[in-house]
Amino acid sequence: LTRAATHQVSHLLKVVRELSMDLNALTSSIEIGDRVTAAALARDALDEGRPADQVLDAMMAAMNNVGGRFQRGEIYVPEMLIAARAMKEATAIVEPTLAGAGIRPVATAVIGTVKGDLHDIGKNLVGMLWRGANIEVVDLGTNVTPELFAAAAREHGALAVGVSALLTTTMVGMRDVVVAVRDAGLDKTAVVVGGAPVTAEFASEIGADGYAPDAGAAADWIRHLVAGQLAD
Amino acid sequence: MSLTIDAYAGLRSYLGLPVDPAPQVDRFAEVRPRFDLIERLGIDLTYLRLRGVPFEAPRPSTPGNYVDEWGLEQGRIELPGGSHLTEVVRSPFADRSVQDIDLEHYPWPDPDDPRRVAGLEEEARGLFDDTELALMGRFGGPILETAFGLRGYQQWMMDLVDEPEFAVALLNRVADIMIRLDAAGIRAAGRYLSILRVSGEDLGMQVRPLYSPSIWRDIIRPVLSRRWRAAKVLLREVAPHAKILLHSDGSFRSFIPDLIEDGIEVLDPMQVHLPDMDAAALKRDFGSALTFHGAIDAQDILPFRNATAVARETERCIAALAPGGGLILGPAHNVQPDVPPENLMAMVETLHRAGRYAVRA
Repeated sequence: LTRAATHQVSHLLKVVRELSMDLNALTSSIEIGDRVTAAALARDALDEGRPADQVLDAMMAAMNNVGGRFQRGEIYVPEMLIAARAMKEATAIVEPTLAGAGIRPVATAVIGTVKGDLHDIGKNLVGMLWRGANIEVVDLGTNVTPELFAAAAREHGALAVGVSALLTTTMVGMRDVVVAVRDAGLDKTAVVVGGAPVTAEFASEIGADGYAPDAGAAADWIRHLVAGQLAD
Repeated sequence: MSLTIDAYAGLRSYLGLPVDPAPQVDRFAEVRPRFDLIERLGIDLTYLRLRGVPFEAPRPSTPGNYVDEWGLEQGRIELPGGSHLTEVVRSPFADRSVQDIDLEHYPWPDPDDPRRVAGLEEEARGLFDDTELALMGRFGGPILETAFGLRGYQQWMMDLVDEPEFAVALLNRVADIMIRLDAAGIRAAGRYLSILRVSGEDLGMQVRPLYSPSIWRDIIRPVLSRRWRAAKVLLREVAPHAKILLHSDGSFRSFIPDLIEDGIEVLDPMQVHLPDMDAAALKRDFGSALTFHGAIDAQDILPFRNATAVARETERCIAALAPGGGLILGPAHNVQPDVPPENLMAMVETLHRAGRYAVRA
């Protein structure tokens, strides 16, 4: 290599390093919930011509880390919520560019709290991490009937249905959601259940496809599901 | 032990007791049991509450809901079996920046309204003189739950990180009122109490604490402990033997040494199947300082297992928690309609057989 070429390569390497550092900064700003910096760095990255899918990957890496840290007890509900808010604001910046580039969410999932139950924090945390994994999330809210779960799953071609319950008295209604999804003939839709009284044993007893002891686990579950779908 | 209305009616019927013609039901569908049931079950503890006072309630956004005296709109949720729960569906401080929230001029409940303690002394004295029951005071309400009811749960959680000064100011506002409610109850009936319940402050999720060590240490603990210490000071004057009970659901072992240091003497409801909440380990580490209240699992064993399993679990909890004293056994949640009466009676009968003091290890 000539001296000039060597110089050029080293310059390019420096640029690449700086750019990837920027994306690392974007990732960490989301992780710590700094929404102002996260939105600004997402904007800068696009302005510098970084491909939107790379920017999105950096953001998804943040939410992946957040879910993992939550599962390991390194962060708690408040920290996870502010991270998800930063993710949401950065996502709003990159969304038009993603759409313009034809980059779509990798799958759609339907989520809700089971009939008779108004508790929503656990369900909301799962929804945030799923969005952070580039899943389009249709949130049906609380007190959702089995029929509504099934109808929404069909309408949106959902890869997954997430069902939450806090109470022992409402948890038993999760079985009806599994039945409604199966009866609707949605063979490719997997049902995952979670919430305080729900156990792996109960999930398997009612024929659910998955069980998530917390929001981080629900995010891992859907990532595996998506990976399996892509492998098919 | 607290029973919700359908579980209460079902248990009465199972035991052949007459239908309670006028059960008093509170907002969690809990019923104060009639004495025939208390005697039949051999319950040792009952409670005293402050009276509600009339207030000008704003109109709810949805018919069927109601607005409570803190300004929280409560939605009613029907449970299978006929009972119900209420949950906050609208929070007065939601969707506002903290600069726009005027804590100074908010229409707070008046804790000093004398109607709150009308007849409380007579009620306490009557129970104290005429029954063998120990009395638990339940006067001021929860600080954390009221604060997040006012702000909305998720916004409140984010405030703890984003707006810690506001979070502390809101907690202190609420705490000031709860401290005065506790004081009103203690002044009226404190001398009859064996236990003062400083309400429920849920500190745990199913698998670990809700809050980080730093949020606990810097924001939450100082406010809660201020209330507990204030109650202890007043209680010591009128009932030096009475103990302070805290309710907290979930798994929160790492906070327990701080709770003890701040004056908590009885811990409820003891979800001993959760991670880090093993009964024997908690007894070993904290049994010299704490009495345990509750312990019988209400998420799986009471509603979904059979009477034999309930009896075995009751024996296990007695063996782990009772030696040397310090166990008030009961369900780890108010009893929901999905708990079969057979299971409740298996718990009660096992307790009477195996739970007579002195229990030795």
